[in-house]
Amino acid sequence: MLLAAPLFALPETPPEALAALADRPGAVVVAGGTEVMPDLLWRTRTAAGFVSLRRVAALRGIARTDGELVIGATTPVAALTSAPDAGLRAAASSLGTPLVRTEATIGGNVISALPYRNLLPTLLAGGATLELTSATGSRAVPFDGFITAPGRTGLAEGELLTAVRLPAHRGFADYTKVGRRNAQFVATVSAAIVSRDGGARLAFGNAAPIPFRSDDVDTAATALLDGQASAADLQAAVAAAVDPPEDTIASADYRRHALGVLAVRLVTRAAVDGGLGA
Amino acid sequence: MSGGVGESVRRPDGPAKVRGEFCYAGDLTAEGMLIGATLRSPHPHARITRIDTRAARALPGVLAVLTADDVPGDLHFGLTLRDEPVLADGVVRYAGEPVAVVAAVDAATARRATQAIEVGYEPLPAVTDPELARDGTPLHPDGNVYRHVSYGCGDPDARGVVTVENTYRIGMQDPAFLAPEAGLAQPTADGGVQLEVATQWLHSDQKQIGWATGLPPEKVHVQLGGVGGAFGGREDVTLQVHACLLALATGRPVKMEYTREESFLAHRQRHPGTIWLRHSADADGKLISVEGRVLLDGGAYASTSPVVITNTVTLLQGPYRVDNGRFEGWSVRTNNPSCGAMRGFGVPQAAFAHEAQLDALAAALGLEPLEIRLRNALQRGDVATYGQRFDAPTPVREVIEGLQAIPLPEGIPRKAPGGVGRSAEGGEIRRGIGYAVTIKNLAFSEGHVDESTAEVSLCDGHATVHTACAEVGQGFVTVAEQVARTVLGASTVEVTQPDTLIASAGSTSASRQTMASGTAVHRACLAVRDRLLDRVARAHGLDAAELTVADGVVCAAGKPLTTVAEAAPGQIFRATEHFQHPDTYALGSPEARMYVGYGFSAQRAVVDVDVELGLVSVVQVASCQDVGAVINPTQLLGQIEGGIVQGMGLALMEAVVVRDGLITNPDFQDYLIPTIVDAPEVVSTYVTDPQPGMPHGWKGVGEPPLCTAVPVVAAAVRAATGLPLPSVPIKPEHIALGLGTAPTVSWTTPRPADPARAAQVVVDEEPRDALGTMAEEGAAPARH
Ligand SMILES: Cc1cc2nc3c(=O)[nH]c(=O)nc-3n(C[C@H](O)[C@H](O)[C@H](O)COP(=O)(O)OP(=O)(O)OC[C@H]3O[C@@H](n4cnc5c(N)ncnc54)[C@H](O)[C@@H]3O)c2cc1C
Repeated sequence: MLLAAPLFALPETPPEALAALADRPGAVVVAGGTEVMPDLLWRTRTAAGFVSLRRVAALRGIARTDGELVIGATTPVAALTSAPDAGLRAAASSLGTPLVRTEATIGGNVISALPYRNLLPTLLAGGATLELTSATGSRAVPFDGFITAPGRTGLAEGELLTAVRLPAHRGFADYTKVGRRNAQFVATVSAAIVSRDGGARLAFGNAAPIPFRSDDVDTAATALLDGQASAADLQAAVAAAVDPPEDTIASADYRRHALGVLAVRLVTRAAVDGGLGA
Repeated sequence: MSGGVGESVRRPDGPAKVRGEFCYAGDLTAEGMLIGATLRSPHPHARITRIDTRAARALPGVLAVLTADDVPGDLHFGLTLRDEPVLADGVVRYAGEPVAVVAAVDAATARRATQAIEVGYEPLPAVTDPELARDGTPLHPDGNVYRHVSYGCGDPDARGVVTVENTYRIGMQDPAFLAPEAGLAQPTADGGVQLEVATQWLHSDQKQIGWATGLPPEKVHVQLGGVGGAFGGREDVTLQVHACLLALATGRPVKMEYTREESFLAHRQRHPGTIWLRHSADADGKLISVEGRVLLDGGAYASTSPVVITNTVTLLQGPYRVDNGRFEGWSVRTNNPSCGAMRGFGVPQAAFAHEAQLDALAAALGLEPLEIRLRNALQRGDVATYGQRFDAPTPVREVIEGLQAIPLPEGIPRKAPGGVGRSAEGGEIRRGIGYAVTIKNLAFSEGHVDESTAEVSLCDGHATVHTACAEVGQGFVTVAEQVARTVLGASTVEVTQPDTLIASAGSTSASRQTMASGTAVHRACLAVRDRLLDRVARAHGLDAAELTVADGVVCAAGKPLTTVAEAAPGQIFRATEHFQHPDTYALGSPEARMYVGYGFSAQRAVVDVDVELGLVSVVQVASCQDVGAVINPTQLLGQIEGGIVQGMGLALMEAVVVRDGLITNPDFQDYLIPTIVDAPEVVSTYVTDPQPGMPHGWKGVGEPPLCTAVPVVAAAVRAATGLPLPSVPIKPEHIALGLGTAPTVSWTTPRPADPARAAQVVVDEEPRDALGTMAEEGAAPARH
């Protein structure tokens, strides 16, 4: 263990990691480093030191318990491409490039807290819970509400994200994203669905400053699944609910439109591929 | 002879590049080397009220801080107008303009030193609209119009039965070469400077370094460093002069290497532009008249803007016969990033517009897209709108027929738009097929002397080829090798690193180096071969006229005599030969010869479009190109594939987005270039009608595929969507939300050309000599 290094710590267990963090105020936690390193390079972030989670074996891996998938925070995105959850698989498979997926972790994706990050709509639609650990113990918080603004979360000082818990389900789950080329792109908009017991729950990326879902949209989506509403109804519900950004990549109008299209397509897939439709 | 002309000889630098061992200019080092860094203006337009470098100079490890006051020679440089200061001269005119440069012991110190320089700016209004700039207050003592061209031919008011008009827009494309600008400058013992740099044009750099340093050319040595792509973006000086000034000021080697962001800020982009076109045709689709107006945004400094605009304006006619027309264009100064050379040099803009017009005419008349093009195809002997006769093979019909012969493969697998995002699933995909045909001028134009020089030596079958031709990935190295094998019968060939010890080869641009430097090499090889054969003839008491070289063997009257390798043991044969294309003249000159030659290209694109989301996948592009001769099939295919992918990039995604003079996306996260997942299948065939006066009949091939790919992809997307799509890049929202104005189609009363105005070119300006250093390369052509 390199705990003694003043600027850089390579702990091997969660308690060591927490201790290393406590010893280094202002230190940045590094998991895969695929956010941290570019930020440092572009000088959008400074660091008074680093605590690397690379050797903390206990934080890596996917386990199935009591109807939940428990995904260690430093599980690489590459491992999620074969996770027993179709939504996660789809979101992971379209993240970055093979090289990036090998290093990138689920924890880094969550803590980056940017509304266009791949895994976030899937976690929101799936009703994920986060396990946050500090020197005084662990707490579980719902992912919904954890991100408060772009780049901001409810993670407390000295706290680590240790696991992401995703309810297992037998329904249909999927994720899709839109960008201007066919691989390696930041989502202009994205959407995820989890559909079970006749209901559909949708979540969206880049539809608002934080990952977004709404009961009204889910009501319209469920109605479409039941044959009680039309695709246009769902698109209208999405358009009314979202507040997407306007930038040089796309207009807010396009995003609003595309989010509605993605919602309809995901519900269509749930109905057809998932055999869930009325 | 194995490895000769016509074979897919492999690049000598290929293995090192694939293994990551190739030495790019950014990998250069020298003992005691300092690192140079640049302080750039954050404002698109501002007056500099003061520069205080004291704090920066006082930092430990900082050896030089230079501003405009420290430039010993002429402050101004530029490829044509010499209007650009080496370091800002009281006013900054674009965001990113260099204000000061520093040299320090390491990169971090150099960066800190740039931050420690205090610059007072008084921001001025940034003029970023080219139309306002054209007619507004001068942003520079030289004014805001880089060049205005205006001419007509025949009777521009002639009309057929149908007239279509529209306004087309082309975005700013970045050359986006993968290795950012880099170079290493070292002071030399004679008080001069030596620069190893990734560039396209060694002698132009040498000249401009000489201006700024005050050194004579013989004291400025430029050598080519490893180049990682260029596409025109390395034709202008960026860090060359700065690195040399810093090396001279410190007496130590200085290396400079840009970050990706700096690269976007510093080099020249493709001109964004607006093109209005009106085409009139008769009921058979034959063009009766064409009128066009072009406005290109040249940005803050001239670069090659005065040359690019003539390409765009004169080639608005496309590869079609146009007897009656009126054409006008401006390239203007704004406070946007400077634009200059990029693969296609003004022609992709014209091609995008004229091909959209041809499709609009075909649709109005119920003709097939290729049918209307065949009916108007230029032929040898036709006269261009600017008066030049097409006096070499002009195989427009042939490239179209060649394209038609490429079968549309049945059941091409769908390549879902949206790619790995899987957004198309659950939606509807529409397939579209589009066509485009283009003309591209080859080599320098309008009196810019197009020449090169090669020195070839041969000893025991080993040939050495020396030119100043910059190898930027295009494959000149293999061309030179192949020629030396075929002509000389050399068993091994070394192409030495280009430098300024030999005369200029001109720029590696304008699809010109095989024609210029390749021909110089060919001539030098012939001269060396003749010297060798003279020697052999004397040794064997034979007549040299009876001797030939074939496959590395010297034959007498067709019978093998000896091998080239053994013909004259230990003897060195050497020759230096020069090649220069016939002179060209400015638009409007009585000689009526603006261009050296042309390449023609026809393409068909198949696209799948997710109309609801506006996403496009290019499934296949078929190409038939007029290439003169196939010198190296693999390298040729590389040019075709690369040009097509770069052109589809401009058509679908590549745009430098400038807001209020600031580039908003100077990085590869937001400036997207196609990935291999986006690249279509490419089917490539050729028309090989030899170019007169060229060895093997070769001609340039690098630009036409890009020029054609832009309109062909747009045409296919239009075919899939039924939308007008008058702008590139086509954004998803243009398709999904149906943005963009359709051409106006009007049915007109035919009005034949007034015979009194027939067949003459009228230029509304005095022809002027080619501008600036591009011409200074050699003797200006004689004027009558
Ligand atoms: C070329 C490239 C392409 C990319 N493409 C995509 C893409 O398509 N989609 C996408 O969503 N993302 C993309 N990314 C971004 C990035 O790869 C992902 O967000 C990734 O999941 C981040 O994980 P990481 O482990 O590398 O994060 P790191 O860089 O290690 O960390 C990111 C942030 O999370 C914090 N952190 C990490 N782990 C923990 C923890 N356990 N507890 C507390 N804090 C923690 C860090 O301190 C830091 O603030 C791309 C990145 C690159 C370089």
